[in-house]
Amino acid sequence: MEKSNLNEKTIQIDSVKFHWSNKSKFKLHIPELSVDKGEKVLLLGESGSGKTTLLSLICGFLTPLSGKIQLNEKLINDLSATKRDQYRSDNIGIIFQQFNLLPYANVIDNILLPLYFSKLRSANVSNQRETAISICQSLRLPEDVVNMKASELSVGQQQRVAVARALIGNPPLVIADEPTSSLDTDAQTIFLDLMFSQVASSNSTLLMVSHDKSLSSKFDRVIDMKNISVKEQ
Amino acid sequence: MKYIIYILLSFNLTTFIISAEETRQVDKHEHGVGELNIAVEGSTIEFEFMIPGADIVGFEYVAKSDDDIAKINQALKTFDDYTNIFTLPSNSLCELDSQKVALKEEDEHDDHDEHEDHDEHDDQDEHAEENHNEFYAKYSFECGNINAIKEVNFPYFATFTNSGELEVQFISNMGSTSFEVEGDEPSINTDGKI
Amino acid sequence: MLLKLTFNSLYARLLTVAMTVFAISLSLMLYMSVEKLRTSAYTSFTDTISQTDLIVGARTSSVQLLLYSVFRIGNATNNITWESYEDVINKKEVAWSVPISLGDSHKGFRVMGTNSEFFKRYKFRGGQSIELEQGNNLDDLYDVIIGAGVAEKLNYSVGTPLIVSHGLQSFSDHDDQPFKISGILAKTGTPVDNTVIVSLEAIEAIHVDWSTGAKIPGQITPVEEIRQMDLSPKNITAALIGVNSKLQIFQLQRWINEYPEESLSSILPGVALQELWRIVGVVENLLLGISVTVIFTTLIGMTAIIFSSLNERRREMAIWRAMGASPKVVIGLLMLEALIISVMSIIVSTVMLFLTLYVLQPWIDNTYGILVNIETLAVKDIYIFMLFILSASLVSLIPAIRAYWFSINDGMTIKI
Repeated sequence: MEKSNLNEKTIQIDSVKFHWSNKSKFKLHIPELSVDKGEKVLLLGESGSGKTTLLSLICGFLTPLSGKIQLNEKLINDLSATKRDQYRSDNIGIIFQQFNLLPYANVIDNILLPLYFSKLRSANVSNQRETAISICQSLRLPEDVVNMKASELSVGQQQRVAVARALIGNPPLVIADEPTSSLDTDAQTIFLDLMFSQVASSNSTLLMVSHDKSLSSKFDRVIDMKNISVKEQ
Repeated sequence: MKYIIYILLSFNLTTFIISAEETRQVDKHEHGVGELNIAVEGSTIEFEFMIPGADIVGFEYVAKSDDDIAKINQALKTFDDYTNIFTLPSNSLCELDSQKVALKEEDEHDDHDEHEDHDEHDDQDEHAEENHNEFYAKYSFECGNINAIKEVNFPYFATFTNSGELEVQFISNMGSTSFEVEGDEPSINTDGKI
Repeated sequence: MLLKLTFNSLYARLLTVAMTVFAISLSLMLYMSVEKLRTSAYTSFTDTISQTDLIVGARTSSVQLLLYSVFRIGNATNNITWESYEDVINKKEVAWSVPISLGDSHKGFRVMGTNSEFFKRYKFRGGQSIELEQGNNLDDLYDVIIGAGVAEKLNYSVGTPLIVSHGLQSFSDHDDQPFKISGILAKTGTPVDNTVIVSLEAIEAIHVDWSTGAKIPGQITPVEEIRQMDLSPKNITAALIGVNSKLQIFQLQRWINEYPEESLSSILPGVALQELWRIVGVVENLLLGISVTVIFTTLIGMTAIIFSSLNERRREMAIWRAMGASPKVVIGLLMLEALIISVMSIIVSTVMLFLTLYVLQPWIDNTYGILVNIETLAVKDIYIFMLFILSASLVSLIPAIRAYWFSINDGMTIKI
């Protein structure tokens, strides 16, 4: 778990403001947030605190009304929608709470899907199938799992496949939105350990969202939504 | 085959057939309906037009005023060049062999056809009581490649602004058929019919 | 990859998709069979008579003349005299002619008097001749040849005696002069199958004791005496005419229509058939309209199915988006789905159509006299397929655009 360069920022957010519409009560204002390259950051926050909105902004699903969002020192909020989609597929691996996979596709296809959309990431993978299988192995997935339909896997297995998919092609940033919430405590620990070792081996930065403070010790840094966002009327 | 017609009978459409037919008979000299006969034999194709005066010059009475006579002469001249009336595909290599253009009265007999060209209307005054004028034109072609006539176009509709419909009877060795041609689609498809 | 995944996705919903494909295939097949039957019926219809240039009869409408002379439906209002007929056939333009005399019947089948020229000149289905299946020509005055349909329905064979009834629905029979079946014709699929054919002289013979439609009371001329009489026909109902050159047809037609001695009509069979078909076309267009409506209904059904799957697939859309798929890809995926469904439907419907036609063709030919052409797909069918695929894609845009909005607005927040 080495950090390559503390000065290199994977995420840099400056005075970002966002709300859905003028009428909506929800307003998000984040004066400053930065995540260093290689850092494992836990973002804590109650539901409704704006965590998911913040992730959507970082992933480029949403654009802020004002302010700057930089990923790998590249300003993404004034990119076109298509460029943002491309940027996301090139640079970010995403893990959701649950139902991460296309249920009808087999595990291999699910894992390789990001490579279809990102030339950059597929260039990092010489033999796609083998790479996918070896990631699965390091994630301790049973061997026969790779050819199974995603819908036939247990929830824990599905989440691990989601990790494999997020990490294939070594994207600089991995964003995980409460990936452990559907797992029991034992499985959580195993899952996090596996995820951490994979993130480390691909040199990626990890930003994980949770409401579970007990996970704090496992991360390099813990950020609480309360502390970075400014409540507005 | 009879069954189809029985279906018709049960739909009580036969009365419609007969009445539609009779109406057509009565309206034979309807303004706006010209007749065209096309016959194909060997390398020869013939076109025979019979068009009510109203469709060509806008009136069917006997032309007396200089103005009306001029109109009729002008129209006959237009018929002299068949390309004003219809066109054949150039690759059919059809050469005009003979043509006959005349102004006819309804009751005229065949032998009057023998009058060539435009002298016809000079006789008009003698038949002053007759009310229907009809333009008659017959063109005969010899074709190098008659099978190439896959369609016939009719500038006729553009040439004569009063023109209405053309009822076409068509016969060749492949059998007979009919078309109704109107200005919005001034052509007939003869592919496979020659 | 996308194509494979779309197939996977469709396969995962196999039952729904299969039923959709089946429904669309059925409607496409319905449309195609109506269209096939329509064109085949038209061909069979126009094939009823070929190589006859003109049909001549008493002054009447062309459709009526065609109906009674060729289809043996309805009645001639008048006959034409033999003298007029001779005047017509003596014209230099006439190459051959077949006189036809109608008016009597046998157990509901029309009796037609004609001469040997009929068997030589009457052609159908693009030049096929009628042939004797069994027996001989009309050699004796009281010989009769029956069509295949008559033989089949009345279970007649060569040698069976036969009584001709006067008129079409009268109770008076020409029972004093019994006929004998000398021959049975091969099946033609034309009204000839349902016709009882005798010689023109026989028609004269059975009416020797009749005057203006009524039997002369008490008069029964013995058959032996009739055989000695001059039975040359005095009038006929219609005549089929062939000309030497097609170029002379319209001239001859005009001459006949303007024949001063008697009111005559002459028609070009093809033209009259087409006129008749235009009226049949009312029914035909109705059928076509119905099948087009059915196709549209199933298109809407397909859209509804894609629509109803949207909500449960909202998460799927989010996954695609997270992988970097642009909203356009999401639209594309749904349209691709519709495209696959419609292409599969086309294939299934074509296979079903040809199987069905293959099985039913002999039955349709026998029962309705329509020979369905099952060899190829018409160019028109290909156009219809393309049009169908196009409209399926267009219709699928509706759910696709909805999915687009879902995927834009959902972002990371996914409703399950």
